[in-house]
Amino acid sequence: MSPVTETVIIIAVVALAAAFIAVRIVRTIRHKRPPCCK
Amino acid sequence: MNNETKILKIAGNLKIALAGNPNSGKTTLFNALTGAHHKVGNYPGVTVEKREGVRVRGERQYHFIDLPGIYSLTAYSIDEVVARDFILDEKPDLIVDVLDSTNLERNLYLCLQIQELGIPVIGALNMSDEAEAKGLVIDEKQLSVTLGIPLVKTIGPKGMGTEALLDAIDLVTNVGSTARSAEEAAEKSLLRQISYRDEIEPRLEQLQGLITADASFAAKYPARWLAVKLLEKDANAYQRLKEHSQAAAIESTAKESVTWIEKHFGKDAEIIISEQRYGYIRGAVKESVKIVKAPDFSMTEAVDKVIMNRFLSLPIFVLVLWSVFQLTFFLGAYPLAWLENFFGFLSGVLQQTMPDGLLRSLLVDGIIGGVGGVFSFVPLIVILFFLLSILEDVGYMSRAAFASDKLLHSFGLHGQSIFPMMLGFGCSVPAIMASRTLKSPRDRIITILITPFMSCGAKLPVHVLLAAAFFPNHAANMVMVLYACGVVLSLCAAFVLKKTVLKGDPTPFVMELPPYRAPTLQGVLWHVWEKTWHYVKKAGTIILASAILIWAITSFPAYEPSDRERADLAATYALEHGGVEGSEGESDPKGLSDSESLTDSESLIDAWMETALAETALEHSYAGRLGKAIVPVFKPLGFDWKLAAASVTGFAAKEVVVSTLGILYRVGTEEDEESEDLRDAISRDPNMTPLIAFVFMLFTLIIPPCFAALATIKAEIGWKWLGFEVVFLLLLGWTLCFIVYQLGTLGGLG
Repeated sequence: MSPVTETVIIIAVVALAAAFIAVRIVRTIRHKRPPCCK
Repeated sequence: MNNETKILKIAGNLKIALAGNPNSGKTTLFNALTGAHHKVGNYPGVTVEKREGVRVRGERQYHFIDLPGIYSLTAYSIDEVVARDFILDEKPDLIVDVLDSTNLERNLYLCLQIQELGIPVIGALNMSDEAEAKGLVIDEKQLSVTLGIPLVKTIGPKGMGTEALLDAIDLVTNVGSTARSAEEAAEKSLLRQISYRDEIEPRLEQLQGLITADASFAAKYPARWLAVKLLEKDANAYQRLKEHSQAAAIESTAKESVTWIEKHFGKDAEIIISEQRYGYIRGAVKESVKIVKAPDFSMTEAVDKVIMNRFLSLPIFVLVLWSVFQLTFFLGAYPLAWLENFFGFLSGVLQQTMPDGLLRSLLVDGIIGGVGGVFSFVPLIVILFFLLSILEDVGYMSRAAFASDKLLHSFGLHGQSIFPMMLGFGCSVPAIMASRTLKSPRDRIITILITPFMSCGAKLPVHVLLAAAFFPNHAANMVMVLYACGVVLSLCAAFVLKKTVLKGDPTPFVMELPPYRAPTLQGVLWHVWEKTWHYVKKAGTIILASAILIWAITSFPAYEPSDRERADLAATYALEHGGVEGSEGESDPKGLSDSESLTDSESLIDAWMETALAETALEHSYAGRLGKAIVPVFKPLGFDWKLAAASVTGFAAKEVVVSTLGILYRVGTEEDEESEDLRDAISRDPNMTPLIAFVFMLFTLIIPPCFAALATIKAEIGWKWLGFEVVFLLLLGWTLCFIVYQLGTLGGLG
């Protein structure tokens, strides 16, 4: 595998992981409590 | 909605609420009806939110809603409000009142109130097998006629009676029957409804007349139900009355009536009404339930004589928990070692088959090092929760809660707090939500704030890893000490909070003790599966993503040592080890020739150099820089930069602490050491001591819980208390660990 391909794969995997965590954080913060508990 | 459209709707899809007293088996019946697998437990208050599920039979869809347990339609706690508001505002087509057949008198109280609402109701005589075992013979036909509602015998865990229940639902809602519509059923039900005393009935009629004057209001709330509730001085009923066009006049009439009733009977109006209801129920039960034999021997009572003994209960509880931990470690050690070996083998295979480079490092150091370490603990999670599920399903955990009740009270905690606290041993998120069963907002806030002290399933791998590495002969005892520390700290924190920011006395609490029940294998396995799947899912998602990011910040920026740095390192080695010549002079145990011995020494130097360079590269990485930047804060606790960095990443999920340590100890080593497990690597770290390991475990136990738990705290009690909790836990964690570390060092334990 060429170093360029390897670098592209690494960047893609790390970016995906970062995006996944960011989405999870945003979803957790925006999670609304049920109307009964306001 | 006119009658025609209503019946049309009912003939198609049905909205059916499952209501009933706490611990009457609603969720078990709900699971049997819908095929869902929601958590059930042999204690009251397991369900705190409404849940929905669908059953399809023929062309019909039955949309079931499982409601939290309530004793009456007068709600106090949040879970009770959820159930009451659903019944009143969502207007289900039908309510199935799940009745505990072993305790009919208390369970029918709610049934009468639902009848007054005018919503068609069916009674599910649940736990009918237990009633028979107790010698109770229920003539459901007679009781059905007396109460004016269809009754069906059910046994939730076995799924018995569910088809008969669906048949009854069809009958009441006019499918398969030409005689009855929902309205007729409701009417019939109303005909049987309770008649209050002669002195009270005219006042009820007067109020009903006033309420029905506003047609739109009367369409929303049944007049008789509301009139009774007003006489019961129900605050929520008075709140709802405000929607009426003549609210003030009705309120004044209701209050006058209450005053008259209380003067006339010399008792509280609410008590008079509940006495009437109970009188009616007693009569109905007397007609329909026969006790064929008094139970000769009550297993529950006999066992409770020992387990609930005032002197023995707490020592027994400690002994039971100790046995659970010992068994978990004893049985878990084997699969734990197999999994560690498997991941070691996998790393070795990748090392040999893949060329050296970033991708191999990502797979071996990042993913296997980070996630593999977390996966290895799955067997321990399975065993621990298998044992705890058995204790819970048998009914022992409720006894443990009862035994702890007095202790909890002395620390200013409400007795009901024990259930969220015990759920906290599994996961803080449902535990925090379970505090909704507490009626007083003050008790609820305190319970939420102290729940994170409980050592959750995610903290277990951290404790097991460090306990096994530094206390190999007492690992199970050490983990139990950590669990005990969590409980003691939560009690002390509750005491301090009660005396400072949340002053007040705990509200009284009567705990309901469920009978002992043989746990079903299906139920226990489901609990275990639920916990294990939650853990594995986290390892495959958030922990995997975190491991990749942690690997990235430990691997970049890339570090290329200059020739000068290599030369400096070689000089350091020579200084520390007496140079290459030094090793030549030593006797060679293997009897190697001079040239072989020289090659051996050179490879030793190379290995040392590579390890030192890897360590330097790690220190140069973003993670190393971050760790070194924050290490001054952690230095007084004895932590080096690796532990400091692992503490910070633990906010994503506590398992990430293990994952981070896995990566840091892998990236910082060279290939020769790849096969060693994390436990060995940590125990060989010269910066680590048993004292530091204990302080780190304590710190992980106390500091704020994971992100998901913090978000739940925010959702339940708001930003203000979330901020308080984070600051409180950080300060407490740091201060306590500082004291323990400094005292330990002074005492020569460091």
